[in-house]
Parts: sequence; structure tokens; C-alpha cells
Amino acid sequence: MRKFLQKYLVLIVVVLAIIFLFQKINWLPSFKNIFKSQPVLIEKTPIIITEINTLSQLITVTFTDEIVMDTAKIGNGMPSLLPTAVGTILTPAIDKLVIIGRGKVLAGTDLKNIQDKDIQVTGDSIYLILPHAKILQTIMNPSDFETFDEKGNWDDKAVIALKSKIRNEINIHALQQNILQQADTRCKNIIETFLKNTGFKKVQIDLKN
Amino acid sequence: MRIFFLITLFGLLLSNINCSSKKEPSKMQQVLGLQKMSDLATAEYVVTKIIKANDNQTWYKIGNRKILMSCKASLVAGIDLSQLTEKDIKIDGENVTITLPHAKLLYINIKPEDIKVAYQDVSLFRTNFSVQEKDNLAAQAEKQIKESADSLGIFLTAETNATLFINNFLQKVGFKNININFSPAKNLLQ
Repeated sequence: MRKFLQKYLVLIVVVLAIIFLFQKINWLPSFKNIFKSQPVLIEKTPIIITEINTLSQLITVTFTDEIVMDTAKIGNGMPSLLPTAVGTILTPAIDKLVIIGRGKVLAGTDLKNIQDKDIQVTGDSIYLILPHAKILQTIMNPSDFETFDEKGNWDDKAVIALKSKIRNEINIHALQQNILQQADTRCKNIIETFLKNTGFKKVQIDLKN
Repeated sequence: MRIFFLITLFGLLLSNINCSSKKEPSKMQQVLGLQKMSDLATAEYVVTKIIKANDNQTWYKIGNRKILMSCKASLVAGIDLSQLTEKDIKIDGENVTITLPHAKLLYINIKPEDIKVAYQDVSLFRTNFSVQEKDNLAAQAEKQIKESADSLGIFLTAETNATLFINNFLQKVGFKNININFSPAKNLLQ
């Protein structure tokens, strides 16, 4: 009986050792991965260029922020009982969506708006009038969003509305940090350094009123 | 003795199974707040892409689900003026020679409203694509678009536009002969 058990035990160990070896050389998935959901991968599809634009934007300051925002609505799920002081009441199911968004606000000056009359050169002196800085772009790409909680069904319109609210909030935060004033100062510094490097001794830069 | 050896071996195998649960590397911490830049954006390419995915790779999930989305992205390239130093500008009277750094991808922008679900087919035993799943698929498309920037020719356009812009600007400030070239070292992606 002992010999019989020993034989089976050896067989089990040999089988386990083979499985272990096969997993090590990736011939077999690990035990954990057998029930792991496979990632959904997109196919390689062509990229079509629809527009080519010429820009002359000097990006001088970026502001990066992270915002959490949520939204809720009455859902179609099972109603629940809510205990109150006067007894339990039946409340409808609530659908909830919580999104974390990371965004980048780019501020700078559109140099396309510099006209001939904005540049005055006298010998080695130059006077330049620059347009004011503005928010050029707020970048919130799909990889910048994280859904923290999602209960119920949410249509694309509601999701876009929530993401737009996050984008607006990041823009507000950027403006509160005086991004435009800092972008104006930085732009003046960059242009002044460039002009001095090109041989101008006296450089005066003002912003358009 | 033999049984002790076998038990030890079995224990080692089990410990290996437990150890195989590796932690996923955490996302690189982003620096939040204000940062100074000196990027001259000179070219924008607006591109479209179809996002096609089929979730049928997990063996124990009954039924199929597939999705078709379209997205519009804006790729912006330009030159980093902070790399431009005094020695890159040579002046000889009314002649100037500038050596600019090569163009790089400054950013890619895919607005949430520019991602549209065109078709979705979910079988009875499967759940609809969640918000996070759709974002993950769009993020894969974002990565593919970013990687294809060079093949789209945006860097060449950005360098041509930068040359034209600086040429015009220097003409306005009084230079007659302007020669613009690019540094030999190529730095394509950020």
C-alpha cells in the first residue's frame, strides 16, 4: 500500500515539475493567467490625413492638472430600500459615473498675428509689439482619463459632457495660476534673447493693447 | 527521506505559483503645475482613424462583442527654441546663418467629442463596452497615431514651415541674406 501511494506521489510531482518547467519557458500559461481575461486589442487600421495647417505658435507655458468629477442619474436598475426616521422608503436605482482626468493646458503667443507695422528697426535698436498670449490648446487624450466608478448605463453624450466639464475646470485652474501673464513674460524673454543673438543691441518689446 | 524531498519540491512549486502574481508597474508620476517651454509649433496634421476591436479572445466568455469607433486627432510638430544657442547664429553684416534643432512631435490631441462609436454588437451573455474599455481602445489608437507621426511626414513639413517663418521674421527685422539649416543630430519624438 505504501509503495503504491509512493508511486502516485512521484507521478504527481513529476507532472507538476513538467508543468512548472513548461510555464517557465512560456509553453503553458501560468495558473493565474488561465482565468485571466484577455486584453481587447485594436486592429492596425490606416491613418488618413484630412488637413495640413501651417502654424506659428510659440508655446511658452504649460499647466498640468488632475481633476475628479462625477455625475449621477436615475437608473433602470432595481430600486433599493432606504432607512429613514419615519421608516424605510423605496428609492430608485442611481447610476453613477466618476472620472479622473489629467489635462495639459498650453499657453503661448500666435506669432502669425505680428504685422509689418509692429516691427520698427533703427540701426541696432528694435521695437516690437507682440500679440497677447492665449490658451492655445487643452490636451486631454483618451489615455489621460480613468474611470474610477461606473454604475449603470452611460451614453456617449453624457460621458463627453462630463469630460468637457473636467476640461473647463482645468482651464479655470490654469487661468487662476496666471498662466497668460506668465506666458506673455516668457514670450517677451524668448524673443528678446533671439533678437539680441541676431545682433541687436537694444531690444524693446511691448504687448498689443 | 524521499517523502520529505517530495513534499519540499511540492512546496517549492506552490510557492512559485504564489510568487507569479507580479505587481503591475505604476504609472509614471506626472509633474502637476506650471512649466516653462520654448516650443515653436509650425505644423498641424489633422488625421482620422477607424478603431476596430473584437473581444473574443477569452476562452470562458460565452458570446462575442465587437465595436467600431472613429476618431479624429490633431498632431502638432515644431522646434524647441531652448536648444538654440548663441553659437547657432552667425552674423556677417546683413547676412545671417541659423542652425535650428530638428523638428519633434510637440503634442497629439484627441478631443473626447472627436471619438464616435459607429457600431457595436454585443451578444446576449456579454456586457456592453464600459466607458473605461472604450477609453482603453481609443488610447491604443492614440499610441498608434503617435508612433506613425514620422511616416506621415509631419517633421519635414514642420521644418519647412519653421524655415519659412524664421526667414520672413528675419527679413522683417532687416536681414538681406538668410541661410537656415538644421543640426545634424535628429531628435524626432519627445
